[in-house]
Amino acid sequence: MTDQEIIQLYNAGKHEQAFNEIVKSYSERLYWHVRGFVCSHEDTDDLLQEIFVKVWGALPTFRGDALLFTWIYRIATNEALNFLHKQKVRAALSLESLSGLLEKKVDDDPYFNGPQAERTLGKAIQKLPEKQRIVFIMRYYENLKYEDIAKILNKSVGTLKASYHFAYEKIKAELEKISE
Amino acid sequence: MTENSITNKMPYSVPEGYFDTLNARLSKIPQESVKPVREVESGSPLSEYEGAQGKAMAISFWQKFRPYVALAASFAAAIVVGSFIINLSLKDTVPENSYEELLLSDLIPVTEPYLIYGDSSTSASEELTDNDIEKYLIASGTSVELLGYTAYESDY
Repeated sequence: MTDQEIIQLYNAGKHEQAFNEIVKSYSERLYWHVRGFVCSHEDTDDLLQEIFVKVWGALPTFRGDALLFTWIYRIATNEALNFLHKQKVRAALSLESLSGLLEKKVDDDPYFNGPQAERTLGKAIQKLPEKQRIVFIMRYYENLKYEDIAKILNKSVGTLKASYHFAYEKIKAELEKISE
Repeated sequence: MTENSITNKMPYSVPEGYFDTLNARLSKIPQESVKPVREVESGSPLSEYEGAQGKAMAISFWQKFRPYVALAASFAAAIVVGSFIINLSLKDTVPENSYEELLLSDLIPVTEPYLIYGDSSTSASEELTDNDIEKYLIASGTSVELLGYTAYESDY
């Protein structure tokens, strides 16, 4: 079912059915979206529950000014970032950095099934500053268009392209350093 | 990224059947949750997302600030415990006798303690000699004329 059909279904008063269609359409996409940020299957699973609770709660306020896709991804991205900010405080209490914590999660992930190069790349991505990391993940892994990322993050396309460029250069330098 | 072994696909798997069970769980949200947030009235400043988020923010205010409160409390506890331990350890090393206390602080020379406390058998009854007075006057920079004047006065 397309987003437009889902909205029409909701407006026709079939709220639960519309929500179920959103779940069918977006659950897997949002899983990988969030997984890229939090690096843990369990955390992603918990966050997805919270995200869809928020989506259900905010559906009555959705006026259709933005695309349903952009709106849902914005909720998911904000929830993932809030989660990471909490993780940052917890990491500080243990005298650790957030990037160190995330790198450890990449190392210890039991569901990792790629070559070592992918693990190295994953850890290099976690070393990036937050803004660059978000843009890189959304562009590189999810192949989202800059225009869509701009609407989700409420940033200009130019800023996003610059962030992606800097992220790419940093990751390249990190990988070269490791391969030496 | 040009390495052959790196693809754009995220290198993670999920437990078998995970997405099926996920959809089933998420579909129960409407039944389990409270009624959806009331429709935002026209002209309300709340945005589409912020309407629901405002409610969520009120609920999670304590959850939001709990880590910071915990951090502040742990610092305060560390300071209190540290002060207590320092006071406890200093208490053992400080002698009860105040004279010995001052000795430790090195304010008075050990060899001549009576310089501060005095000695009843000697300095209390000691009188100043003329020699002592002269030495004092010289050290204080009193002029020779005044010295001579005072000497003349004392003679008469």
